[in-house]
Amino acid sequence: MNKFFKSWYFKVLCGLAVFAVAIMIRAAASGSADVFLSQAASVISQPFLKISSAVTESVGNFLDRFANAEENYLRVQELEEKLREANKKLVDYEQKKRENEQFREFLGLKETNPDYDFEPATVIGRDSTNRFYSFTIDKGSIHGVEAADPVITADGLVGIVWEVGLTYSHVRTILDISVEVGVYDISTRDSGIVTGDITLSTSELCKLKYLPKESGIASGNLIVTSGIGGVFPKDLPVGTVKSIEVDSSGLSLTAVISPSADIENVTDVLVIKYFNGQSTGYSEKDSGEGGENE
Amino acid sequence: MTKLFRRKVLKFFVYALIVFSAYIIQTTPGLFDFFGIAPFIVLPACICIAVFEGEFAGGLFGFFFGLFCDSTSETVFGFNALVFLVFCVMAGLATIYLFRRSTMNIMLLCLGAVFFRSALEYFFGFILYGYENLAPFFYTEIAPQIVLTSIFSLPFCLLFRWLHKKFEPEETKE
Repeated sequence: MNKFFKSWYFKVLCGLAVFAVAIMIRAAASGSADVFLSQAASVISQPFLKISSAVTESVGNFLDRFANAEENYLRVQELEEKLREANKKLVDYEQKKRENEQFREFLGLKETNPDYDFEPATVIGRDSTNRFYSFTIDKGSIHGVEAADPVITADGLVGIVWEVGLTYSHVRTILDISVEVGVYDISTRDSGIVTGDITLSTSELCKLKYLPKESGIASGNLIVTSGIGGVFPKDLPVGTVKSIEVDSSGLSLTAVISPSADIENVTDVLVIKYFNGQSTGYSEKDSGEGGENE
Repeated sequence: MTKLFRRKVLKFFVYALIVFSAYIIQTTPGLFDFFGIAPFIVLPACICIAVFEGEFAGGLFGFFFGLFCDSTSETVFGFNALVFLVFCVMAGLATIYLFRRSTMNIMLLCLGAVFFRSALEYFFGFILYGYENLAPFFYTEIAPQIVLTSIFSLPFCLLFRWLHKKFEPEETKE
């Protein structure tokens, strides 16, 4: 042992011990660590600690999935249930909101047409292969909907119920070439028939044919239903005149009509189940109105 | 001679790497944590070096890695450096003059070192400040840490024993 106390090892170690005591006293007196030594130790260890912490965190997160699997599973189920409830509420809210907006618009329509018996309906399907934008609504015969009932929005006429199921109905729009609607120009009182056109339908337009050659019809004029024949009520807006041209026979005028209703994007409609003057059956040949061009 | 020197340098480099890894493992949050108790593994590693390589090497390792521990510890800067240095020198001398290098002895040395280090920290860090209700803190925090550290001194003991034999010069091997 004496050999050790006399060796230079002992002196070096004593020197280090004194140094350690000195930095301790300095740190205790100043209240902070020795800047150089502390920084040196940090500079060396920090990069490794950062890597180690990052790895630990990643591994910890990974292992947590297994360690807390049951807890996480229950939590996920709980959250999924909450999400389902929230989604349900959201759907309810959206439906109510839409219905509210719809009813506001329909209220105005009802006030001006107290004889109308409406059935609000939602578009639940569209035939992507049909170029005339026909669609299916969620109301059918159990709701009192019948074939040939007019389908409208607050903006104007959309089409006609074509086929009725128990809880659904197929609607053909006024862009369809098989639908004809008796109309008149509200400004000139000239009457004609609005029907679809294969070329125009792609631009969401339809045509008004059989206008007298001497008609004073002009672009921008409003076209409304004539009500003749009892399929459509009178004075439902159909569209506005976009352009006019002479018929190929040269005997009458044909106008291009831009429908009042946004037929391509319509989501909610009203089916008019009854109105004053409605015909009892679906006779598409009645005065050229509301009929099928077959 | 050159080969011997190179062998020695490599040996101490490997030792340093192991102790540094122990420091990183000990310091990384959440990496080496058992029910909220983190064993203090740098000190046993330095004690093992002192036991196998002598008091001087152990003292140097203790001092330098004590400084590392100080840089991330809440104790007064230099406390760990001094304590590690003293305990490593004592452990080195004890195995030269008092004990055999058996695993049990090394573990007991580690236990003693960690216990005294914790006792010093407890005394200077808590008792001197006059905090109340310190006993539960000792039983629930410090004592489990001492026990855990002693347990983890076993792998270090085995590792450094193996490394010491591995790096032993060929001519001195039996």
